[in-house]
Amino acid sequence: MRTLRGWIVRLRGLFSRRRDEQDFAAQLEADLALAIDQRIQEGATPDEARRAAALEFGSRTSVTEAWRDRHGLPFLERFHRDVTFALRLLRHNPGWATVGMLSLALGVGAGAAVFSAAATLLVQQLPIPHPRDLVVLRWQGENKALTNFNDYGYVEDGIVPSFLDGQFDFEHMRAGGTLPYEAFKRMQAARPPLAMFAFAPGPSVNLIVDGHGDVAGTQYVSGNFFSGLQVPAAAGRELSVSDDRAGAERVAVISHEYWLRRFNGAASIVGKQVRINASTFTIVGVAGDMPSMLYSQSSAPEISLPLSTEPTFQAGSSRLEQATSWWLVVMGRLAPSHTATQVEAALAPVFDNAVRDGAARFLATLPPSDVEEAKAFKFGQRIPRLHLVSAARGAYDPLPLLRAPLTILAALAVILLLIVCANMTNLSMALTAQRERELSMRCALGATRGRVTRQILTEHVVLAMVGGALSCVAAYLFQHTMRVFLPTAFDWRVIAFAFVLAMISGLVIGILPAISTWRAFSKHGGAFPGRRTRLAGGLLVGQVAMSLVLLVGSGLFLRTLSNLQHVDPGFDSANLVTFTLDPSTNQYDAARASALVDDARARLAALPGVSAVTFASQPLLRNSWNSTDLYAEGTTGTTPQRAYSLAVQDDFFRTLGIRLIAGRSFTSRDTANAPPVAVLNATLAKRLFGSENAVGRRFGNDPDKRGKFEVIGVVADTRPVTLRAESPMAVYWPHTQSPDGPRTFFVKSTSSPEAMMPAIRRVMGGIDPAVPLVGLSTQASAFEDQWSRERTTAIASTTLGILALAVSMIGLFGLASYRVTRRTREIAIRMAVGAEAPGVLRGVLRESLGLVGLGLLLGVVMSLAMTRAVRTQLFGLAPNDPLVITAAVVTLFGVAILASYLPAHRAAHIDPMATLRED
Amino acid sequence: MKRTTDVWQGTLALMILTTLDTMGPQHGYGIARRIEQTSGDRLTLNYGTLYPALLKLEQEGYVRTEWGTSDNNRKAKFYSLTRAGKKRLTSASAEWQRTTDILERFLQTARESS
Repeated sequence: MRTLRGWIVRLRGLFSRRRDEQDFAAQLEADLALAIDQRIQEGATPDEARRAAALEFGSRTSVTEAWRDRHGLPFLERFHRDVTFALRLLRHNPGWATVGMLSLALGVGAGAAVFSAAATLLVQQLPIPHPRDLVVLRWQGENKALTNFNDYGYVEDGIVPSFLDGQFDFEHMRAGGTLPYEAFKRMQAARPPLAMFAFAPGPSVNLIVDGHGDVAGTQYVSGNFFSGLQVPAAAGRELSVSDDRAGAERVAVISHEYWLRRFNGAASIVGKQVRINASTFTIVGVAGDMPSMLYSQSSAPEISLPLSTEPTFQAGSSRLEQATSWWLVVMGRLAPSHTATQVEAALAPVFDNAVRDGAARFLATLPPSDVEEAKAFKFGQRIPRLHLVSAARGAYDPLPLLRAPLTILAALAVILLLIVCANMTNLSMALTAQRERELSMRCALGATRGRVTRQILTEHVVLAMVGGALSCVAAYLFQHTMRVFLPTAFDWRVIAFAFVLAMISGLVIGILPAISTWRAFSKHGGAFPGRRTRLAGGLLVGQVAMSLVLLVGSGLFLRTLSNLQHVDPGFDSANLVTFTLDPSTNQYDAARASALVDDARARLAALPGVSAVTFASQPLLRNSWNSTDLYAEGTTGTTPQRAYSLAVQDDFFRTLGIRLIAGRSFTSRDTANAPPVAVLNATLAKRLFGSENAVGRRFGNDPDKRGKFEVIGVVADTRPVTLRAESPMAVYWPHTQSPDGPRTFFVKSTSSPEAMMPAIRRVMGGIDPAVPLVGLSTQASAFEDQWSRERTTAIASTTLGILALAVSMIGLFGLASYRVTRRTREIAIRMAVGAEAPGVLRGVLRESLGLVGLGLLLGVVMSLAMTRAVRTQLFGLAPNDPLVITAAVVTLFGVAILASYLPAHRAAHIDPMATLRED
Repeated sequence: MKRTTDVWQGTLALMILTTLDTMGPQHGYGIARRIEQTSGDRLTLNYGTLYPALLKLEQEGYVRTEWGTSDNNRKAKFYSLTRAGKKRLTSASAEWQRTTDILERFLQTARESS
């Protein structure tokens, strides 16, 4: 009780401190006077009495300090005083304070943004009810039961369809994320303790509402898709099992995001009759707000269609009927108290039977000769295992793919933060040393060494607080920029984390100066040990090394970007607009599709400002491709040449500026019924026939028919898929002899291609408004998209590299200045006994640059070891590119000379007489 | 050299209270002298300990202070016991007595058995 009263009085004491202190001073004075009186009474002379009394009372400062500790709340007051003092220090050392706050802000901001993005990604789950109950059904092992395969994301041991990694090759796949429809139905019929549902991406379609069309993405979903995910409809109703039956009325559900974007959330859309491509549908509802089940990071497709409507948009045979077509993502929600392992065991035999039956059924449709070949291939004999995987993050966990960029970013951020901390430690040590006299003075005046040490720590806490506030801003900006790499939403926890990280960094930075101060005032009785300069040198070497690593990294990414930008794709993408038509999704048969394409070409060519129109079977530089196996006539080898394959219209080479090396291009005489012909690119001609002059030679796409096609021309090499891969071997067919599939148009204009887009839309709307114009864009944008990621990486790493360089050079400058200050006397003496200014200059420079050289050496070794990790992210150069490393070393060394020249110059201009007199 | 003992905080408070109880209102210097004299100069008081101890007693309400005039006509700050201080003195000295009694018994047993 009394203790509480004591605290309250002390708290009150905070506010009457000045008065109370005056009162105490008076009391002390009075008591001292009494003591002197007493001694005089006892017979001492006034002088003796005064001395004796003063001795008895001890130092007034320390008595007052002791009293103060009891009065008020000293720790609070001291903190307040320390902070005030620290702020004064910050004001009086603006260089130190600015560098400290800014470098903390940048280092910590970048770190916080990266770390929290990583943390968010690690714990992120689908924002739907109970995501942990979700599983996705996959297969594992050898799969000799597939004739068609679609996968939509990264499956470990599966294949990522990538042009760089070689061709799409079923044989080496050992896992996949999709199943045949029949397997799904039969497993569902087995009634496992798992609410199973399925979906797959559909085509881009034209959604026509009240006569206005808009290209939208689709997904096919099983009738229980939405109920399985437990996401209720935002408006209207969800799709139901009865919608997902052959012959049911055609209905669709739109996504929440699309509802808001295109229809402003209007309720009137529910129940509306719309046209999707050529077919009439009723929109029965708006799905609840949820992401795509494929990737939790991207938004759901605009339109969800029942699986049963798949044949509507498929000109050929439906994949619902093909038991060897693996295309459907199957997910499920585990019933309570059941594990994925149990369900997997229960479903495994059902899955195995369904796949075996499907393969057998496919074999039954083949002519006898092909059956033999299929059996030699062991078709239907190797059946993969069913494998259930958690789908809490969606059917395809994005994390494995993000791991590489995340690790690189995190490493860069950690390096930068280390540089910042090392640098600030050095600067703070230098500053503390410069304050040696001030600190010694304060100790002499009665401050304890704990007090002085605490003061130093407080200064750094204050610095960290201001820096922390700035780093919150920086973290926000960094996170905003990083969205390109890491699609994470803004999070307040980042701000909190940045602040905490800044405080920790501040303490880490302050700890060495504090320790050395503590030591200085104990063992050495007020002298600062010289040993610390060695530590400072070590820190500087580390900083220089890490800065070099960052510089080398940014150099590598900059050259990667520049290399990509200077790749010649082999065709002219200027003033080109492209878009893709797929009339088969509108139920066009081959003849109608061909008529549509011809009509479109004619009408587009007639547009004013259009100089040429052509089309091909694939877009260019959009990472899509087809390939064909080729066998040259006159050879007997069974290993085919696999070539990029493109069906093109007659004007294709001319419009895209692809040079004809030999022979002729296609003409209107190369009709469907004319002799089969082809054009090869130079690489393929050389590979197949040993010479670019292959005109007149023959080859086949079947080992038994090696004379089927005649080569009529050879064209120059291009990079049609990605700028990153070398020109592939390529074969071009006349579009008339390869009539199926979508057509990508290339419209060449005489002026700005963007300006042509409305006219193109109008023309195409005039032909058939129901046919969607997929991917309408300029060819130049495809080119830029090829290196947008590299550009971001280059900008980010260069920014970090320059920051690191600046921070460590300020550190070098600070350290060199500090050393010159410490050695002023020594230098002055040396100059007094005859040392020349240039010699002194060289001496100081040699000392600084020696450390830098050591750091560079270490940095080169570290770079060689570390940059190997980014090999896959580079293009056109090796991670140990000598040019980049040399440039980084030269840059760093050059800046280092500048940074150490100023202190050296100062040292060389010390006035020895003035200096020596000063002491 | 005179052997002196440092004063333990808790006992110092008790000494101050006792001094004030027997001597009546006293200033800081007087209290210090009185304690030293009573101990037969076996204790020397550090003023850096005395003043905080006085302040603590004041904060806890056991003593009150007022400025007054000393015997030789000097202004000084005088400490006097409050009612709570008197009570505290009674309870604290009883407690102290108990503690020393117990300790004494222990030490006696130790002496007898050795």
